[in-house]
Amino acid sequence: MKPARFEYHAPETLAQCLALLAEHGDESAVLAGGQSLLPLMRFRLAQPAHLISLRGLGGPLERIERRGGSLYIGARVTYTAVQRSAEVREGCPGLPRSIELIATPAVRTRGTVCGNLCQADPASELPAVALLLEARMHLHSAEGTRVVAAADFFQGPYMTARRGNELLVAVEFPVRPATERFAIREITRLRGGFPMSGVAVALTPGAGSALESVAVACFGVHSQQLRLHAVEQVLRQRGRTPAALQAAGEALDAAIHPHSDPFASEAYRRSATRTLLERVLAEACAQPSNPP
Amino acid sequence: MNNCTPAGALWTASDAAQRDEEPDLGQTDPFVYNADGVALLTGKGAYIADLRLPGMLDAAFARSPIARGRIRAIDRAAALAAEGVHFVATGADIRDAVARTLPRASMVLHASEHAPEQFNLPSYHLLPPDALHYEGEALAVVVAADRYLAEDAVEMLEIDCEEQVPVLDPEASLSPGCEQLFEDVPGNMALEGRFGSKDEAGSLFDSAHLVLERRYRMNRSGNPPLEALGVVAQYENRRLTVWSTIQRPQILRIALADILGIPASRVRVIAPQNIGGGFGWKSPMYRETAVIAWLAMKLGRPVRWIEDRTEALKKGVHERDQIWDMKAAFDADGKLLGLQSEVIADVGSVLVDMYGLLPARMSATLPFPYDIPWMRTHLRCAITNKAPMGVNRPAGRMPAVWAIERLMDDAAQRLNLSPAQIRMRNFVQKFPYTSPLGAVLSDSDYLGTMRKLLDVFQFEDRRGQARQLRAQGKRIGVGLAACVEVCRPLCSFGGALFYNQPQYAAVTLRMYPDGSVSIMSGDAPQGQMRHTTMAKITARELGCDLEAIEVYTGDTLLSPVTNSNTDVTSVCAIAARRLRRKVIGVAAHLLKVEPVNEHFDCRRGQLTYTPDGRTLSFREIAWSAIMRPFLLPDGATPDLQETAYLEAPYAPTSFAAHAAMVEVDEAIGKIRILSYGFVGDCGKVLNPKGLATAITAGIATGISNTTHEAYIYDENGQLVTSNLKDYAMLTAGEMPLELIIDHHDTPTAATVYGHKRTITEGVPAGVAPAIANAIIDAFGGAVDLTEIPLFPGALWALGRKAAQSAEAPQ
Repeated sequence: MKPARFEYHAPETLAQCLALLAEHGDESAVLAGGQSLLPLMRFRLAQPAHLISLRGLGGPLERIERRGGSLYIGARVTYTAVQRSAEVREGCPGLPRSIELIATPAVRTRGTVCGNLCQADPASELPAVALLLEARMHLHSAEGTRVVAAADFFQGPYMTARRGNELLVAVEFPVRPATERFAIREITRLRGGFPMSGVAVALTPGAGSALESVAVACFGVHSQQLRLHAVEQVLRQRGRTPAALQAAGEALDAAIHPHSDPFASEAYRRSATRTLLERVLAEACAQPSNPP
Repeated sequence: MNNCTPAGALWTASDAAQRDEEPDLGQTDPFVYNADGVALLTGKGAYIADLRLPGMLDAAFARSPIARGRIRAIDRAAALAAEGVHFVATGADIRDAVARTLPRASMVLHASEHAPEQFNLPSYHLLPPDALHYEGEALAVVVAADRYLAEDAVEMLEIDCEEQVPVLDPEASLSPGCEQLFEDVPGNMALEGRFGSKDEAGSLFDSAHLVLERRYRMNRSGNPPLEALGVVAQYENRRLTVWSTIQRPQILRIALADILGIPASRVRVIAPQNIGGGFGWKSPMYRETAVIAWLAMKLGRPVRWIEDRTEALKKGVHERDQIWDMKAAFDADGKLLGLQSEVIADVGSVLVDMYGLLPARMSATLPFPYDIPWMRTHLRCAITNKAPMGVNRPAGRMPAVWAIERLMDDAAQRLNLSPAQIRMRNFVQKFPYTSPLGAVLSDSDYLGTMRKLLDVFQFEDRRGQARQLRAQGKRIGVGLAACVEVCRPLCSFGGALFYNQPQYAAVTLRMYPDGSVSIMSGDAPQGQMRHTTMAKITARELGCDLEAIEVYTGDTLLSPVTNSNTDVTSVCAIAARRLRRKVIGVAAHLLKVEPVNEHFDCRRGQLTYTPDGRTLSFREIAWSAIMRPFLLPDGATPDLQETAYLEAPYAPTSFAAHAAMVEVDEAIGKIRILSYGFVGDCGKVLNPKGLATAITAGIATGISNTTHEAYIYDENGQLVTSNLKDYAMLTAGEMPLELIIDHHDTPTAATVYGHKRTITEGVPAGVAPAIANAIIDAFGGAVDLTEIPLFPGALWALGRKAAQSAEAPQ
């Protein structure tokens, strides 16, 4: 369980970093917290010839900033820093709540939000949350800068729109409306483990069982994270009536193709995911209008 | 009963007479002393991977990528030419280089010689020269300047294998017509044993009120320690020193000498001061250990191998994995009249030291707490293309306890009895008790222990609460289990098989001229606080200062021959009392009085002659004896050293009653353990805190084996759960919300203080049935749960089935 041979780089400026990425591109891997990359390298599932560490890079890469209607989380910002940030807790409370589900405190003090998004592990919570909350990826390369919406960024299991010469310098999360409620639930074999299924929801309740807005995403249960537009449509049109929930469940069932493993069959995953959907909707709607 | 006690080693009547001086190791000591914890907490633990020797090379093993096949050729040219590579060896190289492959100290070798009609030993190689028997089996080794380079070179070995279809199902393996996996094991039967009542059952099953025929199965899991294996070997001046994460260093020394063809006097094995968990898993001599020692001799440089997690999980040893087909006869009151068991154990492939002995030991000596008048067990151990079976706490018995404790509940349900009633009607009540299988149960009070559990857990109240909550739509249930624990062979069958090993505890105490004392034990503690126990017992019994004691464990050069996990408490007490008498003898001479034991008081390194109050320090006494021997009487030797051996006159058995209250969330296939109760009878409790810690850990393993951990092979014999993400050992997040631990102590006469020593090893066994019985109760008895581990998908399916049968028209 020792990694294959690689060359280690620790650039001191963003320009140096982008130059290294330009030079080595697909032969390289970016090391931020290393909580996903290093195990993959130890299993030799990842064998980058060049490892480009972000540890020497400061400035915005280290910071959480609120500018205009958005929060910007830099490439080196750890999960723990996001959890502790008053600005994030206020502006995007669903993010720290989701991070609580990720691994253990030891992992969270090293792992980074941007690293997680670039990893695009289909079982991970954050790509689903990025889809749900419509995050935007700020990608820099020696050639320039582009901004990619989460919906375009995630392209498949472990696949993103990030090019080999690009660095995800920051992820932008739009500040959420104060009336919005968020809930996330998952099923893991061990607390902090990779989920066998998970569902997150962001919604604003309307009168009665109506929903003013609703966004739903799932993770761990399909080959990649999915924003469940068909489910959202049912709920938006028909509210949260029992019949609508039944129809939403069917829409969910049609959208996912879970795999079977010795711990969880496809039928189980389908059924349990519908249960999770009902539970996150109930939980979000039961929250007080101004959560503390 | 058979006994291999060395002459003069039994503790004596006068030792027993001193039993009223019971040390309290946990609470009343005037100052906190923990010889094990301080170094660990301050980052100064000395584990095998911390060891560095000048010139040390690292080894990495190439492991079989397939479950079954033959090696056609291994091309090592590229690997040998790779940077930093010193040596590459294959099975064919090593086959001709060693004196023998299976050491005479092996339990299985002895067992097969003792009972050849029952035992079939497969051929055994340190590395396989041709046939491959399971995925992850070591097949070649690379030695390089560091582990990175060694692993690079392993990837460059070109291994040409012919793949064969693996046999993975133990029943298929034993069925007629199945391909034979080893030439020397007909029918793939590693071991067959028939144990139990000599009389025929007669009409017992025909006339019984209730006859239950049930299959209970516990699949492959175990208790792998967090620290995997490690070996560092050094050969200098014809002496071989091997550092190893071994629970039985003394046995490893004998085995290595045998394999390498050198006298044991030139082999020193050292188990590091700190070992990160053992649980029996570090008890066998693994083939890799001998290979590393051979490499050190061959290359003349220290060679190190630190096993990684994937290797550890693939290589084994694994455990559990037994199928129990039980046929049981009960009368209308729930009395179990007869029990016939057909057992199939999947012992995997290749042999690791104990191998089929584990199920044999447990089937032959089943220490059920029940008085079963007629009982027979037929055991068949099947070879399959999986990792070998070996010791994992609680050493072979978990599937048996799973079966009988599920059977008791299944019978209770059919007879409309409570789970407590049926157990209490069947408990052995008179001790010693000899079971139809030959097991001897001693010094216990099963009824009293169970009653205490029912009391402290408020079992019947909770049972009523659960019923009410179920009526309100919740899925809450309670369950019980009981199990006997025994850590030493109990009957002639098991005994004869196991008596190729020292079962006795042994220790040497040596006092130095300054009055300080070293304790030298061949035991190799793996996190049980044993250094603390040994130091405290010795200080108390000898009367020396605790700070003057240093404990050395695991070094074969320093310590007398012993097994591992022995009764170090009793043996330290005995050695310390004998050394105290020697100290008193010297003091009496110096004070010119008679050496009457009762006239001397020793505390904290100060001796007082009580008739007149004169005092001498241990320093004065020891200095006189050792440095000024002319002060001693003529003919006396300056001997302030004591080696004691101990074998209990009989094997004490302990007992535990378990209770669980669980909430089932069947829609997502998860359970939450609301409360867990445990009342143990381990005799006199010496260290309540240490004991509670160990019991808690045992409960964690039990839960983990019930709902989390599993070695799962796919249809090609590839281990699916080869890392801790998939193998999923329990963490704090899954522990019960409440733990109730208590004791009901029945002292044993077999140890110095009346402690039984064996309580914590068996804890996991009772946990699985307690939880399963609670899950069944949560469904109001509407589900049948006979197989564990139980994963979320399976629990969800159970719930579905229950719902469907409830909806089905009556």
